[in-house]
Amino acid sequence: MSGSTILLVQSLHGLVYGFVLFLISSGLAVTMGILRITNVAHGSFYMMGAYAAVLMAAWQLGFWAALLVAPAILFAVGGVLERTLLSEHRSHFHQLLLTFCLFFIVNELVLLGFGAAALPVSTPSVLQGSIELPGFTYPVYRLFVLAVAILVSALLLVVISRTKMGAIVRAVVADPGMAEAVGINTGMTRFAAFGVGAALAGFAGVIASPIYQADPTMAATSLLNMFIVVILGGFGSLAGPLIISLLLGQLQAFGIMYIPNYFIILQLAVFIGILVIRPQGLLGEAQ
Amino acid sequence: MRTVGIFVVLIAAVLFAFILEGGRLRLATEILYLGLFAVSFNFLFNYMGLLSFGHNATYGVAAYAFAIVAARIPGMPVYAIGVIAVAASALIGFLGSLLFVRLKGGYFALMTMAFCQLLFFCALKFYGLTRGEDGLMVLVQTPELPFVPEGALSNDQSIYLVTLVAVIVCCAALQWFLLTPIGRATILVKANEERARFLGYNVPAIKVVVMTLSATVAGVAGTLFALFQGLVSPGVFSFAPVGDVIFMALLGGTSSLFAPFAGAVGFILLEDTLAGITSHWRLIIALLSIVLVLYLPGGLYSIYLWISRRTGKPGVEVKPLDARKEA
Repeated sequence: MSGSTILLVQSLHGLVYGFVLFLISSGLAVTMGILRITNVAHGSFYMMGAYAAVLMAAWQLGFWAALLVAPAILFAVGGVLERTLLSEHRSHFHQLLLTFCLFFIVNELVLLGFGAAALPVSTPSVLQGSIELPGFTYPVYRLFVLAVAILVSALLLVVISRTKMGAIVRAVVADPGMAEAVGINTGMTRFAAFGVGAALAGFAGVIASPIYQADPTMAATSLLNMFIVVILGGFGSLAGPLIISLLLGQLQAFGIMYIPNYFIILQLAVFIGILVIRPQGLLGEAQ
Repeated sequence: MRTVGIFVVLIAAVLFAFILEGGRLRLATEILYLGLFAVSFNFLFNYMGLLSFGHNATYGVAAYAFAIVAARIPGMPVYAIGVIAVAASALIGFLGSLLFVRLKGGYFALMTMAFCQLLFFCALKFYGLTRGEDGLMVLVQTPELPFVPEGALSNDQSIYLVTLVAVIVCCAALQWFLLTPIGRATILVKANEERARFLGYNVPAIKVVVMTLSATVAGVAGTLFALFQGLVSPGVFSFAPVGDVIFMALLGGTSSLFAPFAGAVGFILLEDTLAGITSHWRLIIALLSIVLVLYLPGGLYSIYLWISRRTGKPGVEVKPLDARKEA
């Protein structure tokens, strides 16, 4: 492989990762916008998705079943958690503390059930192998993930910006009190938004698991990345998080190539630096 | 009455060094430094309204500084190493507070978490200094106490007594701080930041002072931890210590400055019992934390308050946060 094809492959890897990251973060962006809470357990939903794929494979139910079942279950789990633990009647600090506890609970349950080692998830048989592209070969599965992620992202953007449902979500984000006053059921919106956010993270967890494996530390490691995306991109809108996700995907792909050891330190330092200078994020508006 | 109570507790604490044996004395030492760590967390949470998910940052910095200085400068007196370690944590705490002084609520929690993760990866990757995942052995001589003949105390007893003195000094310093004008202003800032600013207080400066103080006390706890454990690994910067400290603060009660000590007692006893049964004892700690937040947000201290109200001797209460304003 020549130098430029390596760069191209690396850049494609980054693109896949960027879109997966966007799938995870979009749910967080909406829930942080609506619930106004920092959901520390969002990375855990992503991890639950990945382990659902492991579990389904162990039960001989296959990957596609996991792709359907995990988001459905996580929708219910997320929605119910929101209504019971994280409803608007709780104080902000209590919500934060509760999501932090949930993060620990999921971590420990995963360790209890699956052990500390990372578990591989096999690629579904239809999508195994590589495809011949001009100058290099690329795994089919990664292209599949890319296509699905682009599709879901586009769908999400259209739903949020073009449909009545999206308008309701945006209204609750912008002004919950006013939204309630004009007859929007904000409780229901919170339930649905949180459920969809959890389901999206679970979906991303399943679909990314053949690439990135299921790993008990993934909730913690993905957490900071998704917060970087949401905080720098601003919540409420999805265009901001999309741009940041894709940017982060590229930075990650090339950072790991050139400074494998220190990339993550640099990334966190830059993130903290940006937020210190611009607390509203890169694309957010000043309050 | 209050003074008598404090004296009784202090004398009992000193006597523990001679009553308790081996393993139990070591548990008591752990209770002391973890309690101090939880108090420093609660100091920031209750008096400044700042919830730090990276409170172990300066705790770990002090522990690492202690181990690194001890390894690099052989023959240095252990107290001098301790002072350097605490100074290092104070410096990091001060720099961190300058960075985060404008943040509040979820943002503050998150940024402190990111800051602590940054330190975690530094500890992992700067192998030459920290020996990465292997961690650093803490090679120091057991501190000697003044006025005590050499060899009169066992290692465990010396470490316990040094820990006890450090904890008492820190607690007294925090209590004293709250009585100074800037300490009173701190309470005002938490109650109503806008009014404090309106009255001409320099709110960011007050916040920087309180954050640095809290970080430094956490640093003292981290130094004691390194002295006691004899090994420092990147795990000090992971999520586990801050989860533990939050549990201790919640269990003890966040509305009183020193109630987290009761939480530390509960935590250590739970850990000691549960760790013998399952290696996943943190699951039970996390579940208990949820129960505490939902059903006993005031912790054990609220039970004490309830009893003292029933018996007609009201305790001292700092009003818990009206946290919804912070959102």
